[in-house]
Amino acid sequence: MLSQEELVEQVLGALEKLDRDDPATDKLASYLYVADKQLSKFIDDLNQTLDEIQKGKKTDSKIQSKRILAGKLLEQIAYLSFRGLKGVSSLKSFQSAGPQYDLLITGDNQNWITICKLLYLNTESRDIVIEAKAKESKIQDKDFARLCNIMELNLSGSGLGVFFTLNGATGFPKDSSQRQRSLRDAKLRQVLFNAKTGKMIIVFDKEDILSLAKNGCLINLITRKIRDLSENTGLPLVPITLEEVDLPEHLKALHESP
Amino acid sequence: MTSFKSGGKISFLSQWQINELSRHFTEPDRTAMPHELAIKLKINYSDALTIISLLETEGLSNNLLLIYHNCQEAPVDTLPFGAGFPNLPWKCPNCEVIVEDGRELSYDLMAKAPEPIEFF
Repeated sequence: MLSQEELVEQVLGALEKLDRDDPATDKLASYLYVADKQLSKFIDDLNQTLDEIQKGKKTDSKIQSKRILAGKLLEQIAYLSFRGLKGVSSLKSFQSAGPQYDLLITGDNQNWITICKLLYLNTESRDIVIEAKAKESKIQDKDFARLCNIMELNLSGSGLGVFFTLNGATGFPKDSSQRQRSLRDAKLRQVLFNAKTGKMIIVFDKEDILSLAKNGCLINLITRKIRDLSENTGLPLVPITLEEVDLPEHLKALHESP
Repeated sequence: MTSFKSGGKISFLSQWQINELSRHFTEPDRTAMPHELAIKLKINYSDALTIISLLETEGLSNNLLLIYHNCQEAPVDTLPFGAGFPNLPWKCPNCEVIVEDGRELSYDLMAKAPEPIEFF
């Protein structure tokens, strides 16, 4: 029998023996994210605040303060979720000479190097930048462009950007019944930025954020979004609890047969 | 009999250790825990964990996270391998106490192989 901490150390040791492409790494990775106990409460508070905003009148002065509260809650959720990732040794949020960003996460130990391997990050670009946007609309290409700029010019040690949003970003597939065959808006920017710099930006929507209170899911969620960036399936990702099956009808029939 | 072609994945094992692994999984429905394999093969726990992780992803075993509570010596619950640790607060199915502190819980992993496995 091992304590949680001891088992995590053994998992990190096991991961060092495996290639990143080996599927065994995904299952082991689930033990490297332990959701903060406060996370469920903050997610509930965010849901309640969003309900109040939706029910209230747009002219109501209290609604504006609720919107500010939703933004703060989203930042707190982002902070708490990344704090639960093994190997994190630095969480910063500041504005100096460059533009403001919400959170910069990194590690300077061997555990973080293992996490980088799992997240397809090079060790020289191992920082993660978080932007929380509690807007009711989807985030726009200009929001993406701003984060691209920060990652390229101000935080050159960053390799991954994560948007925490309520409704995703423009140009990202939403309809699972129809495959999107074109790139546009923020989705186009995401693909071009990745092709040009090798850096990745992914987008969490409300459904993704709700799943963060479950142990094990953060790394899985990030890696699925990163893989979709390279695969460009043109479909929205299925919820994390379901098996991913994206096959044409003649292969799907085989998958569903016993 | 199923076979596990390591393809370099368990290159850290000697031929003697590979033969011992095959011997361990000679019978159907064999189980293996990392500490058990570690002793048998004279390897460390994390290498044994690598082996049982590979077995499951090759479809040769069903792995479980065993959950121990300080109310009894045997495991009180299991979770599928790869589902992370149980979320707290967590209700012990044996003593029905609500566990708030993760230090009350301990863990181990177990592989269950329905078919005999021959390692190459």
